[in-house]
Order: sequence, then C-alpha cells, then structure tokens
Amino acid sequence: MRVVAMNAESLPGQQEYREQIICPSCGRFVGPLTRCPYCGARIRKRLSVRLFRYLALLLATVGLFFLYLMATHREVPRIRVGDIRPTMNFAYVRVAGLVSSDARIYREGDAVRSLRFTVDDGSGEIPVTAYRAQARELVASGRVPRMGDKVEVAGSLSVAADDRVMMRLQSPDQLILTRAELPLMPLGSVSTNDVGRSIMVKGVISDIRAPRPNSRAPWLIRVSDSSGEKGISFWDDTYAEIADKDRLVPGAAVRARVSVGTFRGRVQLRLASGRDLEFLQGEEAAAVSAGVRPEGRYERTPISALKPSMVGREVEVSGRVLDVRPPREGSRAPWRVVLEEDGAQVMVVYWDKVARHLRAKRPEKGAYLVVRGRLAVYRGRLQLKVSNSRDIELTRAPQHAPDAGSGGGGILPIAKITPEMKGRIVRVRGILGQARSIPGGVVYQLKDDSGEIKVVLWDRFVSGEARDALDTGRRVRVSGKVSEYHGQLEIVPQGAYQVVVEDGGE
Amino acid sequence: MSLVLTVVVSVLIGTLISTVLSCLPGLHVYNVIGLLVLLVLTLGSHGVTLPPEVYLPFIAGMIVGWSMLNTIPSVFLGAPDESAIFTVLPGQKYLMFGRGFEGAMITGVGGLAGVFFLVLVVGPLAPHYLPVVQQVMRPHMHWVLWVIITYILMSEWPKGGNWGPAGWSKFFDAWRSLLAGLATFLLAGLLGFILLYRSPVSTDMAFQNIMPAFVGLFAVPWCLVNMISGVSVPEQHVAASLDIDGDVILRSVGAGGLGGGFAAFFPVITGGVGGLLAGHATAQRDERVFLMSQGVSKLVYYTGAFMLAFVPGLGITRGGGAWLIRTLYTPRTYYDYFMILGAVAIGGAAAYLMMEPLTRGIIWLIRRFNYRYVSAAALVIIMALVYAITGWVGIFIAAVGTGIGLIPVLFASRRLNCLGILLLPIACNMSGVGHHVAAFLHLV
Repeated sequence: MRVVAMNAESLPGQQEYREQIICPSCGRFVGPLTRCPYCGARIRKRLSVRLFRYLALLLATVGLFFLYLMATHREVPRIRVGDIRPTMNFAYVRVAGLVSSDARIYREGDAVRSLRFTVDDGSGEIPVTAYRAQARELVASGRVPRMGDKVEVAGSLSVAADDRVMMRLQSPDQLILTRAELPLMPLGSVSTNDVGRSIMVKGVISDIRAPRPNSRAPWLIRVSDSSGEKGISFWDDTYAEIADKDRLVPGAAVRARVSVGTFRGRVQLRLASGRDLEFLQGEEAAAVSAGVRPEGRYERTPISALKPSMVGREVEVSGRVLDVRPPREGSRAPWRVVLEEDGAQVMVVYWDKVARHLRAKRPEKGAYLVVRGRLAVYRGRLQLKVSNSRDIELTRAPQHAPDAGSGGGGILPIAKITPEMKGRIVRVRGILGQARSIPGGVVYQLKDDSGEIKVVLWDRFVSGEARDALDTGRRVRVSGKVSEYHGQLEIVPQGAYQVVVEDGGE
Repeated sequence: MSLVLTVVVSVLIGTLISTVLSCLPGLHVYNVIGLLVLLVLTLGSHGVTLPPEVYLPFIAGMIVGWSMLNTIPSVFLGAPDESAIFTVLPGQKYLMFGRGFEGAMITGVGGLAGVFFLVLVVGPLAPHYLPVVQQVMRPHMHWVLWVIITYILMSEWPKGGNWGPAGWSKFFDAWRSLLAGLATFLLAGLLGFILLYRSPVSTDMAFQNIMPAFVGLFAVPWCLVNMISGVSVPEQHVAASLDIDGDVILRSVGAGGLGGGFAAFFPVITGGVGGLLAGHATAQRDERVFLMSQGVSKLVYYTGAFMLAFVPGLGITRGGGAWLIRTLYTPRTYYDYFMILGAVAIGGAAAYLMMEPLTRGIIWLIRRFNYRYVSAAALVIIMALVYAITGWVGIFIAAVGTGIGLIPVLFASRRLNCLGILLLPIACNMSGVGHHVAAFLHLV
C-alpha cells in the first residue's frame, strides 16, 4: 500500500502540531480525529481537542435547554398591524382585533386546502391564512372566524415588497375567538347602510335556486319574515356543509348568521358557512312562520275588488286558472293567464323570462294560484303584471295532477304517470336500474312496485360528480318534469337536489 | 448612466465585493446580503430609494461570485459552508499533495460550467417547464423531504467498528459517529422548532432570526477547529494546466447540475444535500469529476435558487438570497428575469477571471501568515455581524448552534446533519404535524 506522507516542509506556525493531526502510523492527515480513519491507529491529542469535544456536547445540550426555557417563558410579542415593517418578515407575533371579513375557505376536491380571514386592529388590516392541517382543524371544530368576531391570533409574518403583509397561522390553538353577539334584524330593515355588518336573521324560505352543474353561480335562497324578504347567497362548498340538506326546502323556518353585502346595487345577504344556517323546529319555527307573508309589500285583494283606481298598486290575488294563452312562436307578446275567483276574472300577464323559471308552477287550466303583481291597464282592461317567477305560487294542482310540485307533496306511484302530465313536476320513489350514457347525460331506469320509467339526468342539470352516488340497486327519491321521448314517458330532474339517495343500496 | 450600464457596473461591483467576502472563512454571503437589505430599507425610510436595477444585479453578482470563489477558502483554509463539505475532503487531498491551486481551479471551472448551464440551459427552459413541474410536485413535497431526511441519516451507516477488540468497545466505535449524527440532527431540529415558533430574536430583526443559528452551526465550528487543531499545509505548486477534458466537464455538469438543481428547486434542501444526492446517484469515482461537480452543484444551487425567484409564472422563493430580496422587491416580468440572467452571466465571467489571481493570492498569504489568525479574524467579523444584527440574544443562539455544530466535527459524522434545523421543522409543518410537535414542546 502506498502511504502518502506529509510534506516535511510545513507552513509558519504549524510545525508544533504536526504529530497531533498526522497519523503516526500511516502518515496521513487526520485533523481532529482520535482514530485514523485509514489504518485505525489511535492518535494522541492535546487535552484541548479532547476537552473541546465534551465541551461541545455540554454547550449544545445545556445551551439548548436554556434556550428552550427562555423560549417557552417568553410571551409571543403583541404588535399593531400599522407598526409592521419589512424587517419583521418571519417574526412570530400576535395581533388582536376584529375580523373584518368572513373567513373564506379554499378547497381541493372535498379537502380543505386553506382558510383566510382579515383582522383589523384599528391601526390596519392584516390577512391571516391557515393552511391544510390547521385550516382543517379550524373548520372541523367550527372555529371559522366570521365578520365582527373578536380574535387574538399568533403566527409568523410574511412581509414582502409592495407592503404585501400576511400572517400565517401555525397552530389552531393560537386563534382565540370570541364570537360577536349579533343583533337579530328584521329582514325588511336590512338596508345598504348595513353593508359590511354581520347580522342574524330569521325567516321562512320562499324560494331556492340551485346553481346549474358546472356553473360558477352561487346558491340563492329567498327568506321572508313579517317585515319583508331578502336573498341569501352561498357557494357550493357552503351548501356541502349544511348538515340537513333535505330540510332546505321552501317553507322551512331558518335562522342564519349572515354578512350584508350588495349585488348589482341590491342588498344581498351572504352565508359563509353551512353551520351558520340553522333549521328551526317546534314553537320557534311556528313563531317565525306565523304571520309571514312571503311578499309582505303586496296587498291581498279579492279579484272582484280590483278597480281601475288601483292601477299601479302591488296586489296579491288568488283563484283558479280558466285559460292559459302562450305567446305565438317568435312573438314578443306575454303569456296570458285568466284567473277567476268567485265569478270575477282578471288577466295575469308575464313574459318569457318569468315563464322560463316557473317550471313546476307553470299555470294550467284548473290549477289554483296565488299571484302577486302590479295592477295595470292594457287596451282598457285591467291586468296583473308579474315580474318574477316567485310571484306565482301553485296552491293546488289541477284535479288530474297527483301531488305535483317540487317543494312538497307525496310520492306518486310510477304507473300513475300519464301522458297528460307532461310538463308537470312529479315525485317518485324507486330502485335505480342500469345507467345508459347518452350525449349530454345519463338515463337510468327507475322501478317501483307499480311500474318503471326512465329518469334522464342531463349533465347541465346534474353533474357527473353528483351522479357518483347513483348506483344500480340504490333506492332513490326523484323529483322532475314529466316529458316524452319517442313515445315513452320520462322524468327529467332540474337539479342534483332533486335526486336523493335514500339508502345504501340493495 | 444608461440602464444597461447601471446593471453591468452594479453586477461587477457586487462580484468584486464577493471576492473579499469569499476569502474570509466562515463568512456567508447571505449574512452580508442581510446587512445590505437592512441598508436599503433604512435608506428607503430616509427617503433615499435605490432602483432595483442597482441592488438586484449587485446582489446577483455577490451570489455568483461568492458561490464560485468560496471554493478557495474551502480548499486552502478548511472553512467551508455546509454546501462545500464534500469539496473539502478531495480538496484537502489536493492540498496535501501541494496541488491546492489545481483543486481550487478545477472546482472554479465547475462553477463556470454551472453558469453556462444556468444561463444557456435552465434560463430559456425554466419559464416554460418549471411552473408545470412545480404544480405537479407541490402535493408531494412533504414526503420527498422525509425521504431525503431518511437518506441523509441512513447513508451515514456503517462507519467505524473495524478496529479494536470485539465487544462494547467495537460497538461504540461503530455507533459513535452514527449516534453523533442522529444527536446533531435532533438537537438542530429542536433548535429549529424553537426559532420557528418562539425565536428570542427581536421581532424588528426577525428577517435574520435563523442567521445566528447558521453561523453557530457551520461557520464558528470550523473557525474554532482551525484555530485549535491546525492543519499543516505543504508548499503549493501553481500548475500551468488542469488535468481535465470535455468528458470530465460534461459528467460534472450532469452530476452537479442534477444535485444543485434539485437543491435549488426543492424547499429547505440545500446545496450540501443536493451534492450528496448527486454524488451518490451518479456514483462518481473520478476525483476530478467529483471536485468539478461539487463546483457546479454549489453554483447551480446558490445562483439557481436566486434565479428561480425571477422566473415569470413560477412564483416560488428558494434559498436565503431570494427570501432576503423578497422584502425589497417582487419580481414579476421578463424584464426582471432577463436582467438577472444577464447579471448571472456577467458576474460568472468576472468571478472566474478573478479565480486564478485570488487563488495565487491566498497561496501567497498562507506562505507568509499563520492562517489561524485569518480564522480568528473571520470569527471576530462573523460574531460582530451577529451582534450588530441580533444583539446578545443572537450571540447566545450562535453559541448554542456552535455546540451542536461542533458535534459532527469532533465526532466524525456529517455536518450535513446540522441541517436538521430546517429539515425537521419544515418537514413536520409540510406534513401537517408541526403544530402538534410544537404543542408537545410547549412552544405554542
């Protein structure tokens, strides 16, 4: 073996240490090691090096212990947002203040990816973000901050150029949340003056509009109390959080914690979390429902009492449909419905934009309706102009229509669905058969004890994700419009919420 | 002065300053950039605003120059930063044969090749491909980190245990360095948790709160060991040529680019880890390739990580340099990207041209002076820097870091284990258990 010996000529100041850093056996450089890594020979060191080794261990452990004690006994410093400077990047600090916007939850599929809210301490605002595990814990424990809540939060600062400052919440335990006592406001009194506030409202759901599949639109529910009506909007992820979705139907009494905002210049209430929507029961629900007239501003008037002097007033009438006259193809004329009550008649008119949304409530001869609108005169005759589909309510279907309506009513045996019922909404219950893909959707065979019918789920109404739970053999409840294709009747649900799986399969 | 001229002058001055810095053992370029950031912010608060075309190329020049020229003290003064620990062993071998000049220059050529790799290969491709890679890799970062940690700890095994009588003595001999490595990793990790969740450093200087620990873990131990144990350096021969060819350069760029690139792209992974992975993955046996690939790796890591902050559409911050400039400037467009690419190219060229005279200068210096004094001077400067920025608390943290950093040096395990200060808390955080560990330690 070739031994690489050190050059005998060493540099200034180092000659006296040669024997301690060179292996006396093989002559190789070994530095501070006490055993030659090449030949295994022990190398005698001066005391300083050996001592140094144990001093290092002592320094590391004792020093770290004291540093640990120091850290655990140190209060996380509380700062004011307005005092944050760029050199405070990475600082672990506390801020305290009011939450100035509802926390927004970001998801990846079903999992919470992050959660973000803004804290205002009077000197400025700072966004606080919790990622993944921390965000999930906050959501799971129901500690998602809402506008107006008082918080004290600790985390690490991120201060980038251009004054982009944020705080990263490192531990859910470091969010101390004091829920704000929110005032219960009558819906009619909520105005643009309240924009930015968080409030509590109670009322009865009068209408529900689900977003279409793949649409980025929010859900919108109309809620009324005795003072008026307001819309509450929320996103799909909020809808997913609502515990008892089956109870989200028109007529349900609810209490909601919402923030007040505007949309296209009109006041709109926003629901940030499904947990903030509570379905009322028993006496409380009855108290909320009592005296609620969905459209409080309308004046209930018998048809016989309508007079030309009332033109321009908003009235509510009810009666039986005598005739329905749709506009001609391509015409811009309105739909006209003749409503009769105690022998008196009035013409109800509405345009296509209203007709499109009537769905199950579409007037038919013999049906009983409640209609709200503005009284007008056209060619010398009184007519009631309806500007919103919500202003037409079906109170009783025509005699031949069994339990129609998407909101309530019982279950119809499949065999009782007849071609005369085309265009109406029916509700059936049965066992799903095989699925068959068609362009733009899927067709299932639905079977009950009385017969079977096709259920057509168009992608635009019921997305592929929503259909994931639908397997052959599962017991489902389906609401949908009756239609006919190639001589066969079928049911076409208008949204995923109209297909409810009732069991785990058979 | 035209904009281009401003950029060129700034990058050249930055590179020139880096030559001085890189010759001081233990002094890290990020420590100096931290001071620079403080200076720019202070000037800004007094109404003197420096344009980014001045300080960005300046910082780029400093990083390129330092990552290339810092090889010199690594080889001659034995005080490497953590990313150069692999350069030291072959570098010292060259030194002991009197070929330190050649060893330093081979590593320097590696650095130059790294600049070419960054500017001509990574530069045009990065804006198109890295955002996609980042998108794909993002959900997997945490387990990749754990795999790397496992690899670092396990690749130290086996060591020793070949000599001495059988029994406990042999057992302890075998386990000593392994246990030292594990202890270093865990102690450094605990230090990391403390600094991440409850740093005692003043909040006003929090942007440098990890700096005292890094100084303690990496810079101080080497200065101390140099001062105490000493290395006998033989006469050095200044060669007229280098024993390398195109094949060596290509293999080095492949291995070093892979390791340095990996380290630059992944969070928390540093050049040392990248060098270790690249060295093992490519199983380089040729010492020339090894030396040169470490030069490539180091430059690609430091400069590449800085460059990534400027890649349009990527939006990631990697490495201390990028984190520091983030408080000054947010890069957004190709204007910034091309400026930095140009600065890297110019800085790389200038740094390499200074490599040879600087190496000769260091050889001249160690012939005439006991370089223990150089190590002592460096130690004083570093500690003064720590005190100036973080005060006595910083000195205390540096002292604790020194204790941990000395364990691998004195017990013959890898200094890479000191990276537990970042790897352990960040890996825990990325896996979503960091706050549970912090709560267990009563830090939150």
